[in-house]
Amino acid sequence: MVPLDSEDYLIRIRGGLSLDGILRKTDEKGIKDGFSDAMKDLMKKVNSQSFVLFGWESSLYIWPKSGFNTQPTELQANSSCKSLVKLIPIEVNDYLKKISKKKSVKVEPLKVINLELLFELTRPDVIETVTVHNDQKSRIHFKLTLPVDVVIFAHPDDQWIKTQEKIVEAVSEQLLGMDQCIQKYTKGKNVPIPQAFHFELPESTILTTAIYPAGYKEKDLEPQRKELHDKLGLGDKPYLRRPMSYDFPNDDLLNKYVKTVHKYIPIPSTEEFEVYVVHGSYTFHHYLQDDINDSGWGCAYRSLQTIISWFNCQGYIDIPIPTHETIQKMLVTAGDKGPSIVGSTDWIGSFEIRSILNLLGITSKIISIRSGSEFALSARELVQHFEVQGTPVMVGGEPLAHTLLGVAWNEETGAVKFLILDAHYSGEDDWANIVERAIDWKDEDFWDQMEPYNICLPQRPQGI
Amino acid sequence: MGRSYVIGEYSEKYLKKLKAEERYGTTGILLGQVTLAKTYIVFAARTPLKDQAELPPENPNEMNASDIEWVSEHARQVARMLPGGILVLGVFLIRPSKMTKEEAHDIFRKLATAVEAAVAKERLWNFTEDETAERIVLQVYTDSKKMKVQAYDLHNPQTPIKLLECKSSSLTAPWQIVEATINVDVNIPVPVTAERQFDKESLKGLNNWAKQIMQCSYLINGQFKEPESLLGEGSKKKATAEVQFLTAPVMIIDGEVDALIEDCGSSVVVKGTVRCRAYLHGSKSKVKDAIQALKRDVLNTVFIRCQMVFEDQVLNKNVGSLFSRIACKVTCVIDERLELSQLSAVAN
Repeated sequence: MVPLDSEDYLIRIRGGLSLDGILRKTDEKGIKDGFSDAMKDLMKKVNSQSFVLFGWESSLYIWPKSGFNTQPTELQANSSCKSLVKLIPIEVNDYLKKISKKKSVKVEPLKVINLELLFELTRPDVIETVTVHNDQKSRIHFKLTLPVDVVIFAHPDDQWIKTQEKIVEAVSEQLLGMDQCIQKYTKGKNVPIPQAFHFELPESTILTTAIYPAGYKEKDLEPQRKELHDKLGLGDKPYLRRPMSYDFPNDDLLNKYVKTVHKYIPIPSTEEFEVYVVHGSYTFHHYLQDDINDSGWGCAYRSLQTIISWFNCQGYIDIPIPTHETIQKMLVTAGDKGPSIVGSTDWIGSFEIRSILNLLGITSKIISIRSGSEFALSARELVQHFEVQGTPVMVGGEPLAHTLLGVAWNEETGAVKFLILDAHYSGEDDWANIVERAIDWKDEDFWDQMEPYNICLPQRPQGI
Repeated sequence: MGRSYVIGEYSEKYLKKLKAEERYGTTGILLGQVTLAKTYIVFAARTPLKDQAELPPENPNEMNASDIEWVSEHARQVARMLPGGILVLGVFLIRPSKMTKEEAHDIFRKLATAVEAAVAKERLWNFTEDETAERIVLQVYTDSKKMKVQAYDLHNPQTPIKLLECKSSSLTAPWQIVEATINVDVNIPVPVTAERQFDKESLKGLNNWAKQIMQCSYLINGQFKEPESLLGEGSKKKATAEVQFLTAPVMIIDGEVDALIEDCGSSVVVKGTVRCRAYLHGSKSKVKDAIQALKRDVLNTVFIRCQMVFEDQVLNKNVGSLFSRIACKVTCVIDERLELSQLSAVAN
């Protein structure tokens, strides 16, 4: 995973590169070859004097091949990457700095430098006479704008010259990958647009990019994901589903809800515990959010919203987060409740959660615990759940519901800790407040020792 | 706001000379530059007489449709040779003052409109909304010292015709020049249904390329400059600024899923390097005007080269695959153009 306290810059290079050509052959192979040739020409252009990088919202234009740039006093041959951030405004989530250092892990908000890809139309490597040529054998015109999106990491002290070279290499590499995508997925005259997605992987501190064809459903791309999983040794939990792609700082800033908050707090000591937490991302839903006053009755609804967000984030479903009323209507549809529930402030529990998830094609297991004092006895089962399923869990008790995101277990002593995301939080949706008050590792005495609990364990669908 | 017209010394002298030679009935075109507030008439050129006649027609008051067409064709041919920044502004007439006002206005409006239409055929670009659509007819009276300028708003025929003062000026201040050497590589598919496989209609395919050029970003002498800043600002007294053009960021359309694959009957490929130039009057030109003038020159240069190829083909009656080479080396283009520095030298 990209470290939360990384000093590195993330340099993101984007642009629409045009493939435009004329073919004489009209069959699938002719088309594929045509694109391949066009891609080779494009790669030559990227490695030529006419390839230009432009800093977003700056006056900096850079020619990687010749070393020329428009601000040579500030960015010189031996400058380090640090010089770039003086010339280009960075993309960063400054709100993360407000998280209390007492409670959180060390956080150094990631700095992203955004560059655009351009070609110079006026610096020809070769001056040619103008020719106007008519080809009577032309049969097909193709045109495709490649949405190039490349990321590389660079340390502030890295030499800019070296980084520049890395950028050109990385862009060339992505073009190759995009050509492979076109070759693989072109059928007849249908050529899908290759799209780049960036993912965090468990054993890597940088992002991994995969190229997928546009217009395909997630399940139809499973064979490609399986290949990648095998190549990267990724096991059978999903990492490369497109909705799981990395959120850059502006994505986080534009998102209404706060995502995956548990990553900001430290886990219990691994010398004492084995720690298992939810896999992937989710958004945090809680009391009073979205101007709905559900204080005192809505906690299970909120927990369900968080669970549904998990299935959205991992790309198993794609629905808007349902409101309380929508949830109630779904219960009526499922036959669980009468119509009078709609618009009411009735509580719901694990069984209702299961019904609604059923409607969405998601199955769940329910564990019933007789009393809070026996919670620890279910430790093994919860460990297994997070290890295999990795989904958020709803713990329903009378009268409170909580979202459980992980367990820390000492098999020898039987001691257990619980990662609780508090649906009763009623503050603002900002990182500092949420980390301070809404997420915590709790001890066994957190549960009401006398009360029974029903735990809903949503099952992750098969496949990656 | 009134637009003021300024006539350069050279043009004024030229017109007086024609009048002195008693070339009544002579018609010609006016060339110059339109800026935000003023229009500068830089050059006047007499339209050659039809059928190689020696003298203008007997009754110079009449001007029929074929005369109008003749002048328009002259304007069109001259427009091809103009560098960036210089336009055909209208026509001049050397006439005795015997036409009635109504007759005159009717003919003049037709003339101004026809000339503009002919010249517009050579363009891949359009004027922006804030650019004036005024074109002029300059009357040189044979029996008075006056020169009467009438301006017609071609977009709004109902607008009253303006009678203007034409100030004369020496226009010898050096012009600012911007230049660029641009790579062209355009594929134009010709639809299967096209009547003739290789004709002027094919050139419509240049429109996408033209749009790209008009939107691309630029650097002047290797530096980024704000569009509203002055062209001459901050640089040494260099007369010529070198411009670099960079492809505009391409909008990636949300929801677009496949590449465009379309059938065509044949294709036209335009490829090569073209040298372009634009002139800006005075020292107060803004960067955005200079860039616009230069970009339009890029479009003009390429478009006209292509057109000449087609016309060439028609004359030579070539059939089938045509490979035509037009040499456009760096100096060659400049030779074909009216050199304004040469003009002002003549004026002095």
